[in-house]
Amino acid sequence: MPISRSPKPAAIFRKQALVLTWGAWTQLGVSGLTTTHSDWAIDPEPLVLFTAWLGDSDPRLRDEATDWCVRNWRYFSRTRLKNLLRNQPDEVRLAFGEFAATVGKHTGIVWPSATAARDFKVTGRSVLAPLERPSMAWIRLRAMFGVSARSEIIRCLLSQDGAASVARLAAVTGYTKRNIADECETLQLAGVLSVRSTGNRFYYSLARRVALEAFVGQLPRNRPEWTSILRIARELIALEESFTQLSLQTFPVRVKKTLRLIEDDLAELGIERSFDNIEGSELWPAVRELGLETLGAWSIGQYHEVSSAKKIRKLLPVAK
Amino acid sequence: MMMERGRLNDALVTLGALLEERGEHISVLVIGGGSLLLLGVVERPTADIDVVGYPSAVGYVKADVLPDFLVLAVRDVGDALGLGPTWFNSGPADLVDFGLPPGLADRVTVRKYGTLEVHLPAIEDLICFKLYAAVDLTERSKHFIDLQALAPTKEQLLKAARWTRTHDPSDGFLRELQRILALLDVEISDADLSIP
Repeated sequence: MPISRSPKPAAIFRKQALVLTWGAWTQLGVSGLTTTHSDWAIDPEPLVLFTAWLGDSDPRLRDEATDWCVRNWRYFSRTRLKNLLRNQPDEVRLAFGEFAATVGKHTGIVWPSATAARDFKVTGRSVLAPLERPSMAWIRLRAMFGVSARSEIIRCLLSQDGAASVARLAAVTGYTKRNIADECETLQLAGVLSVRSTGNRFYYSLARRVALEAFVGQLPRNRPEWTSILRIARELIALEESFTQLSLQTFPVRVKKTLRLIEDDLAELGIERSFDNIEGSELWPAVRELGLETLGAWSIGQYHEVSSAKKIRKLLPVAK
Repeated sequence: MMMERGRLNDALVTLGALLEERGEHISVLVIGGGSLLLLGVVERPTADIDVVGYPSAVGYVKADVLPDFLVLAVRDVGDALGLGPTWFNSGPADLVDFGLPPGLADRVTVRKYGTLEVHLPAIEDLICFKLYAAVDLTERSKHFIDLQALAPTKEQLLKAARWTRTHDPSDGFLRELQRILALLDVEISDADLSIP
């Protein structure tokens, strides 16, 4: 059975990703009207890498985001940017290089992988949103505890129920295992974290979660792993755009490779979907449907509720 | 995962297109159930494609292992089409060590799938391979069924039997060979099958 080329993809995923990215930046204070992501905690480093990659897809988004970074660069972690960049494909590193150089040219700071700045004029239109906003929770944490691995550990544990290993914390925060292990120990000594061990693995959790949440202030309902969300978005865009470049015969191979690339991210987000029994020409319609259900929903601010078992249950409406 | 002819053909078309897309090309000699299916001799689905050799200036050379680029492409196609990672593999390549039937290279059918070229032995050569396998694995094996499906003539079987003796000259093999031939209504004396 041939692969159906109808309805034509027409860059749906790129458009949805742009809407998602605008929604997230607007919450941070970028000039814009959308409020779709007011109940999402925004994580700036994955967002800036993804925005740089989107680049010319929406020059205004890129410029407004740059404007925001020029003004608020102190809320970014250079270490985290560097570590997250390591796991990005060349095209992201390349795009971020220009973005980083542009921010650097107007601030004097040096972000990792900076290359040559593009022409850009600071407008000052994009400002830091009020930190009491739920969506600003992760920026607020940095304002409270500094731009550090400690803030990221707390962010990670506030994003999930229960305990997390050092390895998981390192993977999710984008800091090294050594760094995370040292900071977890310090936070445990300070009574912020509690620890239990299984064999030679240590699992950390918040010692006084309720008290910490009260201290940190209002948290949004949706606290997704942005690294996973944006990797899924990027891979879906790349897949969609390869649709017209590859032969009908080889496209299923490309689709399957994309699924392999994002399967850990889907699991991380609690999206349990098996494609094991889907093959050949049936793969693209199935992945397209997955994209519409995930990226499509995320772009309009809908996020699936994840239980403690991290299983998808239903789509929640946008919180007002 | 078993492949019927259509599915096998789709897999080879995909593999050939993928190799072409990646700037790779290769020619392979294929025997076994896959070759019978592709030639339309049998309808029995096959689990895999057995590659035994690569064409060269001096005839076919043994395909001990598949080159890395082919293994990767086979794995990718297998993953996408639900065929598993080894649906296209190096088969009983030792056949090449002991010698392929004389003149096989002149009789092959060449099928092109993108930049993948599949060489399929002629019926008379497939009879050789299937007779050898049927003697080895008895009349209860799929090879005997395939041999019957090839509808060999007495002359073809005699020629094939002589070739199999070059691969196994033992008396035990000779007795079993004669028994299998008898099941195919061919009575052949020891002298007919003597090794020159």
